[in-house]
Amino acid sequence: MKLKSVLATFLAATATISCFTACDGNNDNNTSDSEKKAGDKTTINWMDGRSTQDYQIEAVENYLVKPFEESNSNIDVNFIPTPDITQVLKIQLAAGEGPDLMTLEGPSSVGNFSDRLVDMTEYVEEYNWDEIMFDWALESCKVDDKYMSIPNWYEAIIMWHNNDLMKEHGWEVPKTVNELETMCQEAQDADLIPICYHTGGFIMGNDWALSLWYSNYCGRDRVKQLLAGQAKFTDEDFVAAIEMYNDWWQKGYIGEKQTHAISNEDSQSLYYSGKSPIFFHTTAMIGQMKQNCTFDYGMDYYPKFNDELESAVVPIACAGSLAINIISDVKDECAQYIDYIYRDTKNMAKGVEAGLSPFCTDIPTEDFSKDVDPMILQMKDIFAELEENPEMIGYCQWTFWPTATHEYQINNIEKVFLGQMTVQEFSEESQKVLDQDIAAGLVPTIP
Amino acid sequence: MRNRLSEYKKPMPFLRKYIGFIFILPALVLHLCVVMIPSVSTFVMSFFDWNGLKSPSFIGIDNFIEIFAEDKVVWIAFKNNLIWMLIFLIVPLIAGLFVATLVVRLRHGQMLYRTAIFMPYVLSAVIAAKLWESIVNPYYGFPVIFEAIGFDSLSKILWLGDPSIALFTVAFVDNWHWWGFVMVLFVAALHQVDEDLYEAVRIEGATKIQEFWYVTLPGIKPTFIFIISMSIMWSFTTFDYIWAMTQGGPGQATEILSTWIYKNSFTMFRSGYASALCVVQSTLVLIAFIVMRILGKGAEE
Repeated sequence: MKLKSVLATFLAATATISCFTACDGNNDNNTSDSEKKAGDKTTINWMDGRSTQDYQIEAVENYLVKPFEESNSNIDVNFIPTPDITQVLKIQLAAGEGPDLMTLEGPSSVGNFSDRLVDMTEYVEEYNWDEIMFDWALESCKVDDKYMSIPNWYEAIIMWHNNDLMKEHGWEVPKTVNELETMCQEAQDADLIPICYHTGGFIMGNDWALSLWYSNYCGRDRVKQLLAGQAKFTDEDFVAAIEMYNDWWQKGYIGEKQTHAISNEDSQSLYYSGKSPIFFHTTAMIGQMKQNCTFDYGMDYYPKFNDELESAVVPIACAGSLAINIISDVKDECAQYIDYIYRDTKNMAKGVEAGLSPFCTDIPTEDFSKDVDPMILQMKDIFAELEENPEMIGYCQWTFWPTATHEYQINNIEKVFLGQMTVQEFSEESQKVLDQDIAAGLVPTIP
Repeated sequence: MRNRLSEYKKPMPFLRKYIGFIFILPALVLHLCVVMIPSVSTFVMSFFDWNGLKSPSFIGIDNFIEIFAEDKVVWIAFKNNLIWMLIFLIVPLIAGLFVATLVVRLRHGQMLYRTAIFMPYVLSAVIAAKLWESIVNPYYGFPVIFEAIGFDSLSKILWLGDPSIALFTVAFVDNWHWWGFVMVLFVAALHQVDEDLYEAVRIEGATKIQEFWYVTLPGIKPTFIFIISMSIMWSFTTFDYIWAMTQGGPGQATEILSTWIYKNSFTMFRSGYASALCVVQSTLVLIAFIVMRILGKGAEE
């Protein structure tokens, strides 16, 4: 009996102690003071939610991490690919933990994290990042006139087109909205999906089309006015933009009236199997297109949807932004790393060729290899054109729109398609939410 | 002397006195850390405006006022939860009980049937959801087969895209996953019913239906009450299949309390408001629990 009692006590005590070891606050994701003695190696823990596929992780390690480590032998970079990064970071940052360097999901979410982030304005000045980063991208990272993050990857909403299929049917890449509409009708008549675009099981995807229609119908300046509270969703042009979008949806041009019923992965499969001349997505697909397309394909921006605009407007996004954790002990090293990877355009070019999205800087053409994917150079040309013609730069919702307005729109646009809500009602309700966001100061900086 | 000896009680050793408590201590600590403290914290934060990261600011009952007076989505979600609850109170119970009564009568292969029907339950929700998403896909799923065999009207149905049926489609998938478990519970309960009672009513001339009504059902009543209680409570907290298949769409036709809580907390950065929604959700579950406890006590008596 005595032995049994002792054994029981031992087991119970062990179980109790093991519970507390699980609550150990030691987090490997930030660097402690003990790791930063003079001459010792320091480690930057970098958490990123975008490059999570194997080929992307490999590209980051080979072209963004190793070159820096070889040039800076006293600093290691621990790259931590993390799906669903916003939720992970929210929990870690709220607990006072988190990585040293993190890739947030764009400037629109930075405002929510700003209490936990380093003001990087001094670093911008020290390293002259305004000279190497795209103006529109860097300015979008300001919160209350401070640079709370730095732009990371960028992307634009464009049309991917199946050149073989288009040639087979005698179509050219449409340069006007009438040509696009005609091609859509002819594609439909040929039992093809005119524009392959589906958001089933991924409500967030609704913001691609909303971004395009608002920017490319109303124009850059009008969207800027809207977000500044100087225009309203209920204004004629904004209502007309959604009416046009809804009209095309009802005609079946977009996803054959099934955008909400099929996943984006299925949509990609349909495009890869030649069921559609146009795939609606962003430049972020560049690596996957190369891996999956068995036909000749290309990319281009959509023609302007409104004849009153001077030119097409291409919604662009700062798809991620780099921020430094306020509790990090390697803040200077993080800034040093950011500067290095931005200036090492040769390795950045290799990374892009290996499937990474490019950083918000111009990569010289000569830095790419001789057999670079022509799409990469085409994407580069598009962004160069946008830099030279800022009136063509539109605003993607997930970067530039306040969160609640963005959420309301992506959750409710389907009601318009399904006849549960009129365009006017959708616009009125969107305006109510936007008014609250503006009053609460939650609209990101609009460049 | 003898009385004093008999009255004398040897004091219990400390260990023997508290050994039970020591054994439950780890689970209690875990429960405290993972359930109780976060629950109290959620309740407290429901009175604050908080984005989950910045300093919260006290706003009293404003969140609750918004829930009941301003937020239209809450009522859509509540309605969908009620529909979900009705589906789960009817379909798996009837199907599970019916099949269980058939299975217990089998002399051979009973385990085979039980295993086959139980199999979907061991699949993870996300895998089952993705599986059925493919099955109902209009380009390569059942609609293609329906079209090939001439059922044109069936082939045109968007099972996850039609707002009038999307919720039922997702509920069907969850039912497919769940009903095997219900069946197994009923099989266990049916085995517990005393065979003598069946003999007694047969002697009285009872029909099969009367046997079922007067012997079987009362015999499995505690299990019935348990399944109903769990179905009601889980109906208000369900999340996985909806999120995996539709994320509350199309057009919020499948929005439920859990998905609305998730969106408010994690994508709209309104953790204070989401906490208030959690309090409301928990209250509904608590009310259901109390009601079922009262009914359950009656059943036991």
